Amino acid sequence: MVYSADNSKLLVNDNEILASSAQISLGTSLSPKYLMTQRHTQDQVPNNGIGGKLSFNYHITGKDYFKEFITGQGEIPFSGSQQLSGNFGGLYFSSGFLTSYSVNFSPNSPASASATVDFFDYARGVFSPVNQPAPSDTQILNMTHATIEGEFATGAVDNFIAGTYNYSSEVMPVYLMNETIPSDISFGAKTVNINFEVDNPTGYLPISGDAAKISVNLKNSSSTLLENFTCSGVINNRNLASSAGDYIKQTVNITQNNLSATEIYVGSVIDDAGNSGSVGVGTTGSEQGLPS
Amino acid sequence: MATVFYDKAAVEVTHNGVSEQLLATDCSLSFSNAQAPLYAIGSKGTLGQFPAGARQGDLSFSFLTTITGTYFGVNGNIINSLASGVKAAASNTSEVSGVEIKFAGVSGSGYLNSYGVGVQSNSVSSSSCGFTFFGSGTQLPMSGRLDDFAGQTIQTGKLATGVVHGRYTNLDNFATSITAGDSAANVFGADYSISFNHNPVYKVGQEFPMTCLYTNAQETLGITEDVFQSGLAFDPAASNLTLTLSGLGGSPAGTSMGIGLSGVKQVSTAMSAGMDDIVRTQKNLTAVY
Repeated sequence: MVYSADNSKLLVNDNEILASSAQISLGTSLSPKYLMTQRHTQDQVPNNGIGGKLSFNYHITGKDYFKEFITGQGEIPFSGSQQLSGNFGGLYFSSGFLTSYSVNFSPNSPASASATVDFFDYARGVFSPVNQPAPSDTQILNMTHATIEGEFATGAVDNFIAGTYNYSSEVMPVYLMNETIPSDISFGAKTVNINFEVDNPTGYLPISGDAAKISVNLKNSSSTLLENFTCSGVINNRNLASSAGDYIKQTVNITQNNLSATEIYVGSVIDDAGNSGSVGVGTTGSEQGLPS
Repeated sequence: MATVFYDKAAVEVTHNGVSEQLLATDCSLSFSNAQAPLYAIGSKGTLGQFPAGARQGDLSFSFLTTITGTYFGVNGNIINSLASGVKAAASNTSEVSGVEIKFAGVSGSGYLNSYGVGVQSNSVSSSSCGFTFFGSGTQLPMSGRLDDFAGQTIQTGKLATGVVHGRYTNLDNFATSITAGDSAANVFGADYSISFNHNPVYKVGQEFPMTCLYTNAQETLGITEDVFQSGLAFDPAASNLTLTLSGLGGSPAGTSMGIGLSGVKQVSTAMSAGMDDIVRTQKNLTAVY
């Protein structure tokens, strides 16, 4: 039986994703087992656990669900809650982790993103086709309505032409003896970088990089701010390229390695007279100012 | 609703404060946006149609080839002068601006993307051109609504001798000579065309381009004559030629319309025969800028 894309719904944490494409791949880690004096073998044995990847592309319709995993995944106190379950056409897994995420910013185009979720378990279930109409009145954000803000330690940028926002995270399973499913997950370094084509050709790039920040605000047609992608770090790469018939393209790459949005800060204090303001834990990440 | 008869729908082109109404024989204008359907897996049907590009306009018209004066140092009409100026802009900045075009109450800033002139024996020459409207910044590609041309339409009587005609246009300098056969061609007509490529640069957060760059142009001249030789060279020598067009009665010295072609190479030759006609040959010359 052959099914069409219409029949394979994608759910992540039970949220239906309006994905334009998706794929789930499963893999084992087998290697041939040779005995001494043998050059041939029929035996292949596992040398690591089983696992897979769920990758999908989708259009951004508002506040992006997956972005919170950038700052939250693997961070205290969310380490236990920032897991992703996935269900693609009936094949499902219960515990996965966002390992890469990318948003594309192209002029006059719908804002689109892609994500990859790694899981270290079997995919269970069977393919079960669905038949349902597409939702109506879907809002898809367009980059025409976006605004870009940049802060540069040196130089000035007048125009931001196109770019991408990328996130990657190291996620490693921890296995106990006699178990094929990891007992714990170890989170490694997380990196965000933003690559933007700008209009100020320059070759200035000191060995220590150059501090910079680019913030992309996605808005709807009513200019209401719905999502924000900010990368504040250092410019570690500049690129100047040209080809016949095209204009000169200058791109900068900003990398940010501190992604914790859970830094504790003091909002206000209770004074001696008992006048109190809120003292709380809040985010200092790029979600500030966004509607909840 | 405005019902406009064609005699009130003049085409006027303005560049750097210089305007000319062309003797357009037809004109068409289109305005489009780019809506693309988006689909999601797991559901039947489309999520809807969503913008996938900026709005853009196109305008093209045919007109009688006229010699109405000198525009920016080039004899002829304003379209010929624009084409000459763009292709000769190698030493200028690549950033270009459009020209103002008005047609039946609608106006916009357009970039010349094509221009062609045809001249045949004993025939009135006709030209054609096309413009693309990209808009700029917050400026729409075109604005206005269908209405009568605002202003005085052209008095065509003044152009009686300014219309380019095949009777008075001598194209002998394009004739093929076959020395071995000791023969030189009779030239029956010429079709000239040039296309220009522009590169509008769009940025996020803005629909219309932040700037527009002229990149290159390709020029073709097809000559109809009556000699044929199979000795088309693999790498023919480039030459510089001028297509000189004259109006009815012949243009006074120095007032003919000239179209200069630089680095011309012959790229093809052909011959064909039809009923009740001589065998006509064709050679195509190209130049690029």
